[in-house]
Amino acid sequence: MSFKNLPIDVGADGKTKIRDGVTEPYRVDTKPIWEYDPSESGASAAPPRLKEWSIDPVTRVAGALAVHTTLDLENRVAVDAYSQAMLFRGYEIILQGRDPRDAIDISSRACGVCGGVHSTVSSMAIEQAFGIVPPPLGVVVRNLGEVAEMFYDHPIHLGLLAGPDYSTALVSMTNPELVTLAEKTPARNAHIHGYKTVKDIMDAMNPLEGEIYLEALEYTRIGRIMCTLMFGKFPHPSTLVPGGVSTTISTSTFNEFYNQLAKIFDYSKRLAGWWDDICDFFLEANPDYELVGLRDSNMIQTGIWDDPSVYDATFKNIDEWGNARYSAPGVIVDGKLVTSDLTRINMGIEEFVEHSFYDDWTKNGPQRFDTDPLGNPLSPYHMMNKVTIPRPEGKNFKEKYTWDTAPRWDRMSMESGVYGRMWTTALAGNLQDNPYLSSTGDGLRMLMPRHELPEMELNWKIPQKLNAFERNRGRAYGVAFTAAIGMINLMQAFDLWRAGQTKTATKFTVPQDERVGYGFWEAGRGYLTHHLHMDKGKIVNYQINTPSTWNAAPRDPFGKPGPYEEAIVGTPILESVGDDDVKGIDILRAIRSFDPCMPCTTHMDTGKGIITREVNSCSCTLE
Amino acid sequence: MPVSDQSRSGAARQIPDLVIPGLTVPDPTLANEKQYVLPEQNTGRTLVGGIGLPWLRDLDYGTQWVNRVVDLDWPDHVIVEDMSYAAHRVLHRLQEVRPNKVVLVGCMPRREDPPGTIRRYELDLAPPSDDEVQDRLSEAAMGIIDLDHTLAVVRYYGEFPDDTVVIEVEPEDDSFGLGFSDTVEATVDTVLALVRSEL
Repeated sequence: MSFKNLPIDVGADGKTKIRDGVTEPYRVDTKPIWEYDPSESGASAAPPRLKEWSIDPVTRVAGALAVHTTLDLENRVAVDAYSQAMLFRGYEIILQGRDPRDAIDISSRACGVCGGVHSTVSSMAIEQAFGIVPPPLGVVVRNLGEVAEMFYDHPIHLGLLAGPDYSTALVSMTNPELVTLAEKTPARNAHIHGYKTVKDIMDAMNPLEGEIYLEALEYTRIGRIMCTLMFGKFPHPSTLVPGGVSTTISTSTFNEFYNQLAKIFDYSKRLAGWWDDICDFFLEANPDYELVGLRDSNMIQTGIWDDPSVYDATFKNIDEWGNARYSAPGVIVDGKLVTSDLTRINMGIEEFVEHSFYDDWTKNGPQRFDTDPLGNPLSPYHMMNKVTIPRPEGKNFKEKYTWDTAPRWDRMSMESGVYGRMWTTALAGNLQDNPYLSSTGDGLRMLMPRHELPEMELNWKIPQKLNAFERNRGRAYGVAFTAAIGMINLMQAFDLWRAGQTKTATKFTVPQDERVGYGFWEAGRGYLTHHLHMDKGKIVNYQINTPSTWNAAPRDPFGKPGPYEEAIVGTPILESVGDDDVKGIDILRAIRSFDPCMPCTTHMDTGKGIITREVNSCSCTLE
Repeated sequence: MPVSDQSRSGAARQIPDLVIPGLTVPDPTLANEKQYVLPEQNTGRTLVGGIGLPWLRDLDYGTQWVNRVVDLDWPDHVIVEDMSYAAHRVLHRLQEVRPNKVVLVGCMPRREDPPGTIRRYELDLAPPSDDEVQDRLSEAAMGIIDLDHTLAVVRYYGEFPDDTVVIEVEPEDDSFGLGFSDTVEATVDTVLALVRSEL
């Protein structure tokens, strides 16, 4: 692969270097922000009925997200958008100067849904820095715990957060004609999920009382039970350690895990069935729904679930173990896989704060790391070089307007999600032979074993267009994807146990010299990295980058919008009600399809080393 | 120190059956057997739960108070545990324990009383409105721990026993860190005595 925008050349030997003759490879020439301009579409003047419309807060997402849009009521379309993360957290500041092992527990509180992924990726960054390797069963137990965590995450989004947008209760307020049509439309997958018409499914999606809503709530219990079996506690397990897990494991642990996993097999069959029916119904009822949340198919994924026979925690072999992951890392540009090498992914990443409430740290001193441990070039805007300097100033969208930053890969806006990791896994073609999961070249085949429902083969196809419906459909199939990986790992656990390889952790001592650790993993919503720089047994710098950091990003220094913003611009207003009654449901569908996770723990640095308030436990997006 | 006795209320409404629909397969020809059977309602248990926010000084009162008292002698029917989870997780835990009585302990900034005030109230079990519960449950589902979210969501689904008591302390210091302010530290033994008097 080659970079399109960054001047990094890849030699025939695979080694990378800054292009000859380029003296300022990471120079940033700022440009004015992109704003709606009617002349871009050939219009001679602005349409007569433009309306500024703000949603603050966006409900049914985690934390404080505001979206400011401009609606063209004449043409019934959103023409401009700004995504604003309204709160600040400050984990990077809290972690400075602490024992690196503290990062596992403290960074875990970055999110209350992702109650284990931060602990996991933190322990991985630390084990890389410490130079220790977890035993195979430690890797498998970690995989199983993280499989379970997804069974907490995905049902919440599909049932409680995004699901109600497609329920009878809400659709009857915005598009009553669709409810009437749904009543007459047989559900194609009724033989799987039992709902005879699409209206029956929409009824079941009604908030608080619908069966699908309540079932999702119930499945969060099963996800937690499974996670607790592997990690002892969820959320925020204390058993994830550098070099493995400290949980006491026995064969009955795995048997109990299987008992719960079998329920997920059936749930995943029905879940994919009713989301297929809902997505197909809307898209067939009005093809313009295809435009809701549509943006270019550009995604970044860091990969999750390691092959215990390949993973060695080293940066030296990062591409080897990254490519062996059951869910492949990768960068997708225009729907095509550009790379699945973590080194390439890593060296293309930059994080900008031009329109964020932070100071640009690059002007404050020399760059800490010019290269990664293998000598690949790193930008001064890479997280290993980043310093978190809050500066909540800026009065308008041309200046600073969010606590989120603008991560970019090869200076392009990328989103991340469950569908993204299925996309990279389908195209990377790295999966080893197994009965449960395989790539078909244009999608994934997942075999869900028999439980109360018969064995079923589910086939997820890479969508032609990435929009709100395909994000949700992908996430629904993602439960089967994850269950398949759970089954593969469970079989590995039994094999290792039979072979007497029952050790789950490796002993270590905290090194006192200068070290770095790159943690690459995924949250429910996708991309997740932790970046550790330590010296004398303490953290010098710690940076967390999450999927919603990417998805909710603002304009970058080059003026280009972030993914939410891109997805909203062009989203049609398809409500069949008058302008005064528009509820913006299609814009909300566009935003919620990303499964936003914004900050809850708003720990503000007051300058005295004190962190003050608005409390809770979650915050995937912010600093 | 001041101790107030009051109640908190909400509007009455019909509540749906939470558990059973979600764990049955909708097509009755496929399976009729319920996969999850709730324990008996009348267990005689009393659940004493602390709800706190980690590392936020006084706001972590519920958790830290439980940590201090959990190893004391308690009657056999009493379960003392940290319940610093999001509301629906508490709901699920109550469905498992099925206590006859619940005593919840935490620090909540109501800004109506001086710091260190201990409030004891019997929960009015009338559930709050749909809109309120949906908002609170959406936040809870995303991991937010909040005593009021817990009170609203669990009430809505009817999983608090009739005898549910909340003992709250008004915080003084909600900054990042361990331990309590002196004012709140001074309430620990009084709250313990109050909880014991509930058993």
